[in-house]
Amino acid sequence: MVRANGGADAASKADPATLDALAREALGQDPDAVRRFVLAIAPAIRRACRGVMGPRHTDLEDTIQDCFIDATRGLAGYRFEGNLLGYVTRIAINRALASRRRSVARVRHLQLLEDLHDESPLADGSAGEIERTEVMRDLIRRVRPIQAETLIMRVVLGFSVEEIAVATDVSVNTVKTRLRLGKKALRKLLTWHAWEPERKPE
Amino acid sequence: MTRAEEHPEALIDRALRGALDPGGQATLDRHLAACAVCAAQLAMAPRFERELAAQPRDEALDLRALDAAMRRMQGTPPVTRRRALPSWFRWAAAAVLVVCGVSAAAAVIGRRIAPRVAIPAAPPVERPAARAPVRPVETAPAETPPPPEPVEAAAKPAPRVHASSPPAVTAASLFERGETLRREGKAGPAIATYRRLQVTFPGTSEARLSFAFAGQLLLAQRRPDEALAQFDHHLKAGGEVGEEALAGRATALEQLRRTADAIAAWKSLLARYPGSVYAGRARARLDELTASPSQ
Repeated sequence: MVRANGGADAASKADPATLDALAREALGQDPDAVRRFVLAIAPAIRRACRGVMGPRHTDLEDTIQDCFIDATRGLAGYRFEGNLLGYVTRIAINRALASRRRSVARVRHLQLLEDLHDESPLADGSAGEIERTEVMRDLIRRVRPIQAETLIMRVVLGFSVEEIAVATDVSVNTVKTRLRLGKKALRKLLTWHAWEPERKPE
Repeated sequence: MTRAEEHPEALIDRALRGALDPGGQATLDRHLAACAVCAAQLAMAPRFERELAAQPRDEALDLRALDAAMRRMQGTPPVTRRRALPSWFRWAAAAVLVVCGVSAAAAVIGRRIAPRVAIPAAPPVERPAARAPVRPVETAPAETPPPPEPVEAAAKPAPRVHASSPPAVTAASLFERGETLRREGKAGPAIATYRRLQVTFPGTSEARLSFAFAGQLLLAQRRPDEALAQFDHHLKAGGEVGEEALAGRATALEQLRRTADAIAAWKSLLARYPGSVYAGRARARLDELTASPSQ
């Protein structure tokens, strides 16, 4: 866990063994078992969706609902060999990225980005924190999907490199490579949008 | 790799935990001065954390979503929830099955016939392998997390520079210089620098990106013909800011009063990037241009 209250650990209170047991019960299609499983993974899904889409996104609840269904139905093909919470988080990230991509609620944000492109208002401080995070979310969405997923986990959700490796079932070096390539692509987009990041307060 | 590409993830983690020693802080500060992404990551972490922190209404939100999801799952059997596969996929699968079937049949028949039919020895004839049509690979659906990348893109070798000519002129340094000039509002020198980069280091990612930057500056200088050429170069090279280049291209065509081409360009932008940040502008321009077309 990287952040004080963030990262992968904050996503769910259930330990992996308990989560696996709940998932196996849910495979039996018993509604109560499914409910228990979904409630156990709900924090991870909510966190991932909120991270990708932003807390005020109008489609957030619908997307969380879709993720519950995706995760439950995805169990049939899950091999119980990796990290279930990571698997669920990735489902949620990809679903949320798709929702954000097609959402009509992005119109206001699109306008903001157009303005940024024209005048780079971020540099003059007229755009606030909210807009800044929205811009970052949108720019991350535009890099290659596998890199976007890794960047979301790292930059937005606060996973450590090791946590991402566990969640995505790849080596730490692969995660580092994805981060490096993703950040390289993101830097070009930030440069294009004349991004002047605020420095962390001392 | 340059300093900006060696992202000190461990130092960032320690800084976020408030557990960074002075030496580590100095190293991190040097990196942050050169890397806007890591600087943004560090600066925005508290904001993201506040957004993601548990809220009182979360439980109610989960329950509402869960109830709705349960209703949907119980009301619709899983099989009907599966997305229809794209038609090309069905055709491709059918083709694969046919090819496999024919190959297997040929192998079986061949084995059966071989002992019975004495084929005179003949030099083997090599047939060129039939090429299957190549289709673009689609992104895996959300339900299935994409498999790990077997091979990450290899880093491009740095352009050769003469060892005894410090300071070395590299694609990166030219790009940085152009970028600095651009930010300082010195459009002319910036364009000249980008052009030098394009000539000196063709094929590098910096040169590719510089086409879009130069195009934007030329557009602002009301030199649409030159801007158009720059945007076209960027698009032809499959540049990283294709959306921006397409928008710039369309704007240049408008400035050149090539209305029909501009309409086609805006439409192309919408077709290729329906969720683009420039979609709103594209639609607005299309509305205006199609309302009063003039060639």
